Amino acid sequence: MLPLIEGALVRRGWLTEAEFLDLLASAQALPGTIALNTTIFAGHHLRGLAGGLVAAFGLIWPPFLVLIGLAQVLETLRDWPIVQGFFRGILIAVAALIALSGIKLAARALKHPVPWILLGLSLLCLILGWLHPLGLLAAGALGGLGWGFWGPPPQEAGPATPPDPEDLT
Amino acid sequence: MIYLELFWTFFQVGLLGFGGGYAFLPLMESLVVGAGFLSSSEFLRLLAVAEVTPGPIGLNTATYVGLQTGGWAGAAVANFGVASPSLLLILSLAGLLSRWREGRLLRGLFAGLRPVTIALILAAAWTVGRGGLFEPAFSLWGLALFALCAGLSFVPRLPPLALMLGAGVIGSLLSWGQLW
Repeated sequence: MLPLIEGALVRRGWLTEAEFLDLLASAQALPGTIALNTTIFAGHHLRGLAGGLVAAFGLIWPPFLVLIGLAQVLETLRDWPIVQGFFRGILIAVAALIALSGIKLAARALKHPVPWILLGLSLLCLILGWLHPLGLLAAGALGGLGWGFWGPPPQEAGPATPPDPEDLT
Repeated sequence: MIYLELFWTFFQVGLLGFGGGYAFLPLMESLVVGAGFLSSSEFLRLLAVAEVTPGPIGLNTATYVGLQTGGWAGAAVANFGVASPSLLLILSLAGLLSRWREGRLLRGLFAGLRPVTIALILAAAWTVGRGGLFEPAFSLWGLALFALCAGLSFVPRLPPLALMLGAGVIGSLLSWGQLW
C-alpha cells in the first residue's frame, strides 16, 4: 500500500522523497491506519484542511465499494467447502506475512535488550489473555512517558532510521 | 441504536490503535467480539476477505464488520468511525505534531509504545494463524502451508496478494480433496 502512495505522491512531484519519509514518520507515530494517516498528512501538507479531506475521501471510497461488491458475492458462496478452504488458506498466508513483518520490525526498531524483554512480556500478556489490548497500550504509553520525563535525555545520535515503506501496510 | 454502537466501537479502534492495521487487529477483535457484533470465528472469516481486498486492512475490516452488522449504512458508519480520529487529529494538529515529535516526552511515549505495538502485531499473527491452523481441526497440511508461505515471503518482488491468493487456491484444493 505505502509504496503505491509514495509512487503517486513523489512521481507527480507533489512531495520530495525526504518530505514523504517525514510525513510517513509522523503518520506512523499517530494512532490509526498508517496508509490513511500518510494520505491525510500529504493532503494537508499540499492544500490544507480541504486537501486533507479530499485525499482521505479518495483513499477511502474505492476499497469501500469493492468490498461491498465482493461481500455480496462471497456471502452467497460461503457454505461451499471449496470457498471455506480458500479462506482458510488465505488466513494461513496472512498469519505468515504478519508474523514475519512483526519480526522484521522488531529486528529493526528495537535496539536494546529492555524493549525486547517488554515485547516478550507484552506478547505473553496478549496471548494468554492477562491484559486487554487497551490495558497494554495504556501501560506502554505511561511507561514511555515516565521514561521520557525521568529517563536520560535523548542522545544526539544522527537522524532516526527512516521507516521502510515496503514493510508497512 | 446499532449505528451509534458501531461508530463508537470503531472510533475507539481508530483512536487507540497505534502501530497501523495489523496492530489494530487484537484490539478490534476484542472490541467487536466483546460488543457482541460477531463471534471470533466470524471475525476471522471477514478478515480473510478484508485482506485480499485492496485498501488499508484496518479500514477494510471495519467496513466488512459494519456491513455484516448493519448493512450498507453500518459499513459506512464503521468505516467513518475508524477514519475520523485520524482526520480529527491530523487536520487539527498537523503543524504542532511535526515539531513535538522531537520533544522528549513524545519520544518517550513512542519508545514505550513501540514494543507494545510490535507485540500487538505478533499477537495478530497468532489470532489469524489460530483460525487458519486449528479451525475446524488442526491439520499438518496447514502447518506445511504456513511454512511455505513464510519461506516464500522472503522472495523479493513477490506481491503479498499473489501469495495470499496462491495459498487460497491450495486451501481450496485441500478442501476439495478433503485433506483438511
